[in-house]
Amino acid sequence: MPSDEQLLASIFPIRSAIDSGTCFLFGDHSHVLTARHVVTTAAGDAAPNLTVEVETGKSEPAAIQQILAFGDVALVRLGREISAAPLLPGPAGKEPDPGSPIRAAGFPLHVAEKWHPGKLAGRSGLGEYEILYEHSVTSQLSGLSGAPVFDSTNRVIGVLTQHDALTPSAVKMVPLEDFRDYLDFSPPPGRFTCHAFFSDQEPPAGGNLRTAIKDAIGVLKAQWDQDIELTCQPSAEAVASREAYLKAVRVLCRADVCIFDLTRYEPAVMLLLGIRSVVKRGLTIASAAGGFEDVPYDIKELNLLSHSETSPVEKPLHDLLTARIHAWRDAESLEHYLDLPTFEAVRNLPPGGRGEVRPEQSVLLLCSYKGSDAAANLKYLRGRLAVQLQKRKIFKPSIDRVMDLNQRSPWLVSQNMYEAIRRTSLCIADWSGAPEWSANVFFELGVRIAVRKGCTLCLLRELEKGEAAAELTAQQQALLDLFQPLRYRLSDADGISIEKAMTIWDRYESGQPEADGGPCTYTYRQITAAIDERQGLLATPVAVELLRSARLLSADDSEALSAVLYPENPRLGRAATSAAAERLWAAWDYMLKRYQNSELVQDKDLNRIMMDVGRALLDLFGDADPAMGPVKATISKLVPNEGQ
Amino acid sequence: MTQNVLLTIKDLKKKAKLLRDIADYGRALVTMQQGIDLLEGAKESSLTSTETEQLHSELADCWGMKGGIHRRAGELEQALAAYLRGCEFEKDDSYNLVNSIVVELLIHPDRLGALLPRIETARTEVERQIRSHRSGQWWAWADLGLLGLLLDDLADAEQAYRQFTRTGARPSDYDSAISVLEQLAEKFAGGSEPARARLDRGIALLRRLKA
Repeated sequence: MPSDEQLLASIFPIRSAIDSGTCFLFGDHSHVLTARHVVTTAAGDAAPNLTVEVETGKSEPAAIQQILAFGDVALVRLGREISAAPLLPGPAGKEPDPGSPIRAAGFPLHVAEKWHPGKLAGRSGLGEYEILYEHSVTSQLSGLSGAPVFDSTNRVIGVLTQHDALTPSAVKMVPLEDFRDYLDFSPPPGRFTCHAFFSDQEPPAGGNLRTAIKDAIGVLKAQWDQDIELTCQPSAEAVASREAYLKAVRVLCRADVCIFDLTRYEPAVMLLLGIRSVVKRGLTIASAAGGFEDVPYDIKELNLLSHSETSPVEKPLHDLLTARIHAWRDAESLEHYLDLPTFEAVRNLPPGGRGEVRPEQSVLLLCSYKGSDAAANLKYLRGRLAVQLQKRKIFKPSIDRVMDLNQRSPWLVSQNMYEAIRRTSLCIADWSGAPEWSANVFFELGVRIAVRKGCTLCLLRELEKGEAAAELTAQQQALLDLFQPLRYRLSDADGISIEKAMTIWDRYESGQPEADGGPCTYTYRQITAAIDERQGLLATPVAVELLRSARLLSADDSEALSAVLYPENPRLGRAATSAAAERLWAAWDYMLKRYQNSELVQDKDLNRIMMDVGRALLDLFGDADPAMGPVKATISKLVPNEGQ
Repeated sequence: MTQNVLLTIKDLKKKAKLLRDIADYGRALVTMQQGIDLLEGAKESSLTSTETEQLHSELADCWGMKGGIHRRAGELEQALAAYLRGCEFEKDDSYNLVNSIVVELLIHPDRLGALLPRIETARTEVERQIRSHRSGQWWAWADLGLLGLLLDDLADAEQAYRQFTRTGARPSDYDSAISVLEQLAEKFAGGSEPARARLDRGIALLRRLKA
């Protein structure tokens, strides 16, 4: 057990322009944990002048690595690795016991004593646990925010966050157990990353796809003169434990390129693909070793590569991979290029069409349509769910499959589906499928748990006596262990399993969900913490958005090809040119009004946008047009000098 | 040739074009020369056939742009030299080919007769490119129209300019095409009256089409 002296060597004062507190080395030698309110402003932005006093009297600059999505906790990155030992975490998966003794250690501003003993009082919610100090200090203990809370074995079980204004002995901590899985120690964004998820069919070494990916990344490194981080893993491994799964979800949120081995459309791969399709507008590449004639409906638009041994070798697979990555990088700024429709479909809900769809209106059932048992399963589930809903005073329940929604809506199938997946409060995913689990169900389940923190109930039919059981694959077993779907039997006339499932729903409804509802609950939390905010509409400056839409309407001078269909119609051409011009003028005027000239010169990004808009205007009107005089004059002032 | 070189070239071309448009020809030429030097340097490295093709295409484009900047700056001899250098790399395009003829005529309008075989060859090449892959590009049709006027093939020229319109040329593209004809027409005043008349007809047609 580490001594008190050893522990204190890893605990430091932390200061920002707005507050000061305590932090401690955790996870590795270059990150510290502290309370979020010490390092952020009231608006949630990073507080300026953040420093950590790693040696007495020697403060060093630090930066926020991650603000946890819930709980008053922040992970801070030091400017360098330090030699002190990271504090050790308490046992994983263990809820802190009320009444257990604890100690907190830190740097209170008005009290010399560093150690503060007490005991755990009890949980007051997710990310909040009450503590009572057992000491005689009567003054406020400001400066202890962010201090580690140790159990009796000197392991960290939480981060101290607040003390009661009137009672100095009453404090709160965020239990480590609540957030340890969501900590993100990955390097700052900027490095190009590629991750591959293999099917159970891909051999652990060699293999067509694995080799091609390695070759492609090797070629890209040479072509781009830059390092590319490549990581690969079997999909079964990605769902083998909660920790591995959360790590995989983080990768799905962050990787620039994700490659999925869709051979046999295995359930874990489809689940991960479903999550990816929602969380990242990067490049998603899929390859399969066969089954092209039977592509699951949900991914029918996905542009599949083949790594089959028997594929005709017209072009090596690694060349096709590099070509795709090049093409994506070239078109990265073109928002209208999609590899899957899901990313936009789950986000672009119109005003008025974003509200919850309550069970009184519809319950969404994700299930297989094919297979020998599909009809019987559906009939059973609809019947038993209807009874359960009627017991909850929903007397005419509508239990809808995606197919049923389509019959009532004029919109695209995918639009209906993804809108329902996002908006419907109660969703049931029936994994059952013979002879195999449905690939579509797992893709849709991935989308669902990525977009909803609410209730998603997973069910799986148990085989009846006499039914031959197929041997479970590694992925299937891992998914069963991770999700623990409730099992139902068609022979269970009372529908006990369905009733049990609905009690989970009842707990959600009453605001008392299970502390750990499995991946259906924590996937959303993990995504919230790891989502890349530099993507999609959010990350697009207004002027760039206008410029892009203008470019869709107007030709590029060097290309000399019409951007509109039917260019022979002169009215159409004039209308397109006029619409493009309006957008460009809007962008130009916006930039001039919004920013000072000095900002447009000094800020490289702003300067680039301004030059691009100016160039587009000159291209559209021609530099001889008198209207371009002021544009040219402005550009002359802003154009970067040599070397810039 | 690495992807980074191509990205740098793209940026340099964008910057040079902007400098050209604001009449800062000195800096535009320096910028364009940086791009050419970078590409010439890349020629020394071992390249695949695809990379060589890409490199030649970029070199043709950069020399063409450099020629265009010289021309705007009134430096016609240097413009001609740049266009001719660009012709050495040009494939499946006609920018350098046609502009080298235009600039040579601007310098020596009296050489129209001597240049007719080259103009005829250029027209054959542009026609081939249009049949092959450029039927939707208005600059190909503008080039064909111009070559038709110089070859005294008014029907073909008119047909080409009408096609220039149908492909969706923008008002600024008409202005650009008209400007070239006007510069040439000015040079042909006097000794080459028939050529001047043909060019004037071309200008009138383009103005009508633009309206």
